[in-house]
Amino acid sequence: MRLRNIVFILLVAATVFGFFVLGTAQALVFSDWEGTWFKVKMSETGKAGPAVPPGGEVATNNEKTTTSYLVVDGYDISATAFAVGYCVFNGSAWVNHAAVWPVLGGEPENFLTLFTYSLLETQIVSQTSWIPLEVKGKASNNAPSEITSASFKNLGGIFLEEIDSIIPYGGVGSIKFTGSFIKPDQVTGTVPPGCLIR
Amino acid sequence: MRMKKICFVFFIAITLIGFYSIGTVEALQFQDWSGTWFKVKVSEKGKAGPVVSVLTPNGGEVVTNNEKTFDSYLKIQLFDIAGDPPFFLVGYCSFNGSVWATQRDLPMQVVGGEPTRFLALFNFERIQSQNITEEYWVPLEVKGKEASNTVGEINSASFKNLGGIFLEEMGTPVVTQRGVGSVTFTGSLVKGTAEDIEKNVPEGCRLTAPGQAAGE
Repeated sequence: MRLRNIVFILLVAATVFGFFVLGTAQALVFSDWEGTWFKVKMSETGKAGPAVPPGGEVATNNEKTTTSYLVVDGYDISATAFAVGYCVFNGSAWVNHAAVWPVLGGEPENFLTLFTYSLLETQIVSQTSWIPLEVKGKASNNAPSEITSASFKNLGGIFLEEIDSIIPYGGVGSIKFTGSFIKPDQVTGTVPPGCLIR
Repeated sequence: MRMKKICFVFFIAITLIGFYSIGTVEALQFQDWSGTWFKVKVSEKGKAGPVVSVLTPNGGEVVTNNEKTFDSYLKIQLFDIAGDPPFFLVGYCSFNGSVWATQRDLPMQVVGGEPTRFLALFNFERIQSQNITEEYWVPLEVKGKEASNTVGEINSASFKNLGGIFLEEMGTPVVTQRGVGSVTFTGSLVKGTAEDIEKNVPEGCRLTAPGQAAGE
């Protein structure tokens, strides 16, 4: 009877210890995100009108889904922010833009950020975007600091566009911006070479 | 026969002049929006999480952070066409948990369009309560119609957001949580005379500086 009790206690202790080990070993830290690549799908719904003065009629100004790429470059623990590279096609080439993801709140497996960036969409279209993001990731079971699945989705998002044509236009609207994880061994085949040159 | 022709030409000329007059006299100007009041319905949908810091390097769990529809008030104070880009100065009034508080002279950038229908970007900060501050970025489409018998008087107007986001900070003086998400922000004209507006707008919202009385 006493032996059965000892075995039972040992079993419980081993289980608790096992859970503890799993719990601590598999917790990500923010710096584990460094080097993570995402394939980004973005679309816009908005309106535009001739700049004032002289102004003119407002028209629809939507943009179909486009693909871009984003990499988490590094984590600054004192600024609690990630440096990221955002790579977009400007009509003739893939161009990298340096930007920041401030960690607003959350934890390494699920955090919130506000992605703000300005870029030249084409030679005559410049755009500034403000996109709140929820970023999620999971660590590998056998390599605790290795991210094996990740994604992000926007929680709202807006753009402000300036079109520098003969008649200048201004546009505003909402953005959809979602990211899916690119496995490390698939980065070279998936990400355009122009985005990998950094 | 000649008399008929003269009458016909005269009739056409009068009609054209009439159309021209109506077209020019009734065209709304951006300046005509000054003094316009809107009742604004605002709601938020987002998430929040504990702030990550040197003391709490791994933060904490993200949770839902929505806010049900609440009322606020917005008054267009003036239009500055010389601005680059041109902008309206507006007053925004919301309930901060204990009183109605007005923020004045907030710039609302005019992005494009015409006086009867234009696009704007409204970026401002507000104190939601003693412990919570928020920053909004709200693209707006604003529409208005001029009264047919009073030149420059807007008798119907509204705005709706084309997207919209918020960034929220909770805790003072040390921020302990932050939230982000989307905002809906729609406005309907507060109609009527100065007296009507005084009745319909909370007392704490009425701008009282010279030239900025409620019904102006």
